[in-house]
Amino acid sequence: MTFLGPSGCGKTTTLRCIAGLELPTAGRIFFDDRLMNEVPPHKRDVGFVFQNWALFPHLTVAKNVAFGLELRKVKKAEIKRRVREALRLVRLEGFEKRFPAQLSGGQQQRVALARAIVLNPQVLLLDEPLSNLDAKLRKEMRAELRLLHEDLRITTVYVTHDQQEALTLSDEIVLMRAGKIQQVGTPVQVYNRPANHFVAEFMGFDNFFPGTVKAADSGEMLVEAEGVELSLRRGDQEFKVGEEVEVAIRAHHIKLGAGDHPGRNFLKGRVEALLYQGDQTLYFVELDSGRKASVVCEGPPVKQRGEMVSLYISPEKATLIKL
Amino acid sequence: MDKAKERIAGIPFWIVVLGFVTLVIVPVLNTIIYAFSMGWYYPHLLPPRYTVCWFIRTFQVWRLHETLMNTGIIAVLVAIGSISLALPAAYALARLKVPGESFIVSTLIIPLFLPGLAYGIPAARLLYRLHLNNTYLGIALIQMLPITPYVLLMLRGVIAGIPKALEEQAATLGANKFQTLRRVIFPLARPGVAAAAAWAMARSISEFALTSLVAGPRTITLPIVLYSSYDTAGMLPTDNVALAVWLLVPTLAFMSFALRYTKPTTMALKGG
Amino acid sequence: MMFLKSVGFLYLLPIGIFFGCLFMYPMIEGFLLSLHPEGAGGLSFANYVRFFSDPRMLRTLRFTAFDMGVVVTTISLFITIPLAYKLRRKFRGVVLLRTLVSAPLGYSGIIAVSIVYLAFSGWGLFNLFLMRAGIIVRPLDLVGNYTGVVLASIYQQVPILFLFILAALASIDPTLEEAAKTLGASEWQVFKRIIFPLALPAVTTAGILGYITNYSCYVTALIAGDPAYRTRTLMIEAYEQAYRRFDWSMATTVTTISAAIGLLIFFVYLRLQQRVMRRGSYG
Repeated sequence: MTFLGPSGCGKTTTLRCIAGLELPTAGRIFFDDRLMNEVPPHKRDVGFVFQNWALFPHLTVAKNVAFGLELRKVKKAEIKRRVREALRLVRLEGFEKRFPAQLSGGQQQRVALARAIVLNPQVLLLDEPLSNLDAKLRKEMRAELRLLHEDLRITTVYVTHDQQEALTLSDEIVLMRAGKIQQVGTPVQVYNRPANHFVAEFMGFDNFFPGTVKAADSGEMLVEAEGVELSLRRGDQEFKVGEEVEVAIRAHHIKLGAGDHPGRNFLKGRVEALLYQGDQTLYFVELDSGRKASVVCEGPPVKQRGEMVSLYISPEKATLIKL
Repeated sequence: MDKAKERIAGIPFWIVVLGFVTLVIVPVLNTIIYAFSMGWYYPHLLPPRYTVCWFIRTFQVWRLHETLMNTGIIAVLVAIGSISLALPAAYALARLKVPGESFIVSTLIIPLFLPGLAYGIPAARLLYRLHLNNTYLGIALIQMLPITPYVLLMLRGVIAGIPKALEEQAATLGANKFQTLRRVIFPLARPGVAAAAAWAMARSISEFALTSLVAGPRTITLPIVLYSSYDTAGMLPTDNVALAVWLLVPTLAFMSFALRYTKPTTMALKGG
Repeated sequence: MMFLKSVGFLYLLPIGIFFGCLFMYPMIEGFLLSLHPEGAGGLSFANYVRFFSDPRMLRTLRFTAFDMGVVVTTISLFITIPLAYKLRRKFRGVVLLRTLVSAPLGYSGIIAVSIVYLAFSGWGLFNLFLMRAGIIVRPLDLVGNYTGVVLASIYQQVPILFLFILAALASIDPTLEEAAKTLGASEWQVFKRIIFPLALPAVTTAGILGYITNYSCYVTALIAGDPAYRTRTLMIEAYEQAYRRFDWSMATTVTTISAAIGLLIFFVYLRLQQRVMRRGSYG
């Protein structure tokens, strides 16, 4: 499960409450059926990976990983075996005698991971563990983390502000904002059917057109927005006729056409500006109503500034958001 | 259960904390109350009467006005002397590439690692030969032996704290070495230098051991009076305290001024 | 030669001259003097022989180097470390406590000794209070002996060591402690396995500086102790040789011996500094 949200939304704080590093002002925390509120952190059997990895600088990699085992008075031979196994899982065999200062960021992160999982905790908590890595490394580690999770099958709570990470790694996403949960759902749900404007914007929706529900059938919805009737696929939410909504659609889901296509699901506008981005082009279109829309099309620019265009809003790709 | 155990484990720590805080407060409290007390004996928890007669006595019996003057003059001499010696050296060490820098610094701070009298007694011999005993200069010189290295370390920190880029910028704007010193470095270093001076004065005012080696009848300082008040017949503990207060107040004043500008960990050697 | 040519040389000249004339020269002279004992008329180690065969002198040496140097420093550290540990993180009132603990920094030497002496003497507030509270009947013998010296010494020392060690403890990344806790370490185990090892370089340096301060003890032992017998330090001995017995040769013998020990400690300190510089935060 991933807690996703912007900085300051409370996701790290919640994680730390689960670990016992902070006390919640209200509410209770259960591991299975056991109430954990009064249990101090060193008795909670959680594995925590910190954002800065928190490796003990005065201990070798092996000693770092073995730290929890030594505290539990595990036998030396057993410690050695388990440490080796944990390092193998994170692909750091042979690094036992090194010190954290001699490791790269990615390696340190993996040691922190090994240190947490070697104890077979009930819950694994990861606080933005990839945010200190460069983009390429982050991509690699994302895949590794996912594979590791599938191997180990430990209940894992992950915290991040990066929606890509959340989408890749999660079975379930909890979106948070300013301490309140905005939506809980699978990555597909959160990505395609955001529950509100904030979630939609956070998950990358670029265009929002306010409108009114004209008809709400079993499969199809009619919404009037931007002076045009839009027929949209209906989601799980209930809408009443006359309700104020927003039609949200991603920039690369809008199809750009010649300016003279009338009809349902077509918005009209004029190209204000365009930016060539390599394998795609970003168009800024000013609609008849004055609202601005962003459209991304593959390939080099096919329209010019000032040209009249039509924007096709696909019924499946657009989503309705309650206001 | 666990929480209670953890709290109990913390108790010895807190006993130590409270114990030491008591150790700190009691003498100060005692001094202040005593200095103004009259007839304070057991079983009175607080003095039955208060008075300032002890302070008046310090002037009458102990010739405090002379002593204060002596102590003050010497302190000023020490401050001026140590800063004059240390400031250029600090500048060189902080800014210029000096070969063997760490060796030089290590040598200059040796006096901080030796007992005062270990270098004080030999130095006193020399000062006697030069007839500098019983003079302000002599006492100032011997006090400067432990004080100058300290001031050096402090000033080195102060100058190092002025970004070199400022000097370079001044140079590109047309200032020569002297102008840069006057307009850029001195103003920026002033608070730090003032703090070092205040510290040097505080240290000088409270210096007993070294002063006693070269002091004479004309150059009695406050610490010497305080010490001799222990031995003198007819001494009352209250005399002692009044003198101590005379010593305490200016020292505290100078030190708190100094501490506002410098980090105290650079002054990690004192007392004895 | 390169040194003489560098500009820095000029800046260092004043302090160099001062140091050379008033420190180095007298020290060397003193050492030479110690080799010319009174009435021996020439180069001789007689003073040193006298020193090391006189039980009283040896006792003074032992008292200074051990009872003062080692014991008092250890007591100070045992007080300072818990203090710094408890006050290393912010909580309500921590600033006040820190200020209180480091207050004696503001005055030291004879002032500190005097006020401690007075406060814990027979007519001081401490005994007064205890007698009033009925805990004791007669005043405790807290000054004029070793106890007095210990009290006065830690009064002066703990504030400095405290700030030093506090800085070291506060600079330890708090997430390291949290990580240790999540791995199952209780508070004591966190202290033992993480905090103390990481603070060890600072504690060691503090210990050495503390040793030097206690070893150099003069005024404190003079006023708060029993300088004639029980709390006689090397410096007290040196002073009396010079100013009471006027045997300057013997006096410089004592100062040379104590300077030698001081220099030894100094070298240990330098070596430790080098090690810390090379190995970074842990040494």
